Amino acid sequence: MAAELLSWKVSVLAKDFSIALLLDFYGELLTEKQHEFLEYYYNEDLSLAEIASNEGITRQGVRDAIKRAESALCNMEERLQLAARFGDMKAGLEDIMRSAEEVHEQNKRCGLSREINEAAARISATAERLIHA
Amino acid sequence: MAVKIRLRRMGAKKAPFYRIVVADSRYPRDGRFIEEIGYVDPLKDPAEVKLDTEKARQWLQNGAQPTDTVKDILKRQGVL
Repeated sequence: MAAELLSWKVSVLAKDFSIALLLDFYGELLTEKQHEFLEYYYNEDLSLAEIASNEGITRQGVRDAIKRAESALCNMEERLQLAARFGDMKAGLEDIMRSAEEVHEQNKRCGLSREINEAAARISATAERLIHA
Repeated sequence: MAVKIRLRRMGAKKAPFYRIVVADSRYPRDGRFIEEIGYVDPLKDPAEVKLDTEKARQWLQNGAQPTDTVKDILKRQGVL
């Protein structure tokens, strides 16, 4: 019997995973240890206790380091807004890709212009490249 | 040997996406896992969670330990 796959929307998770996104933008600016701890905590989903025992320090020590690193990341985002701008740009590029697809479909139905097809494909490819840059 | 249910980040840079996986606690980092039972997409607002609740129940019965994050998800899904 195929297991039932259920989908839920949750508003808040136990950890704030927007930190993982900020880590992608500003991680290199943290100290190596701070970067590492956030990486374990948010990307590997290790607990404070697990990180503490791996590193041979106290749970409180890990907690303090993570809190400090998080506030450093939030401070950088407040000043530089790279994550927010990236989010805007991504939404815009996705919109551009949808529009290029519409042009392509429309052309397939009635225009049949090879130049339009190729231009639409180039627009899509450029938008795609910028999203993953 | 403890078996854990934890999140594992997949996806590209600047696009966090998590699988909910059952994994041996000895290998948290090398990418090996026993089974994938769902995913979390934190970029959706609100975050989107998909979970195979039947498999989750089975693993819990077999003694797998969820992380706090996964525990929270399981509670919301009514598995715990």
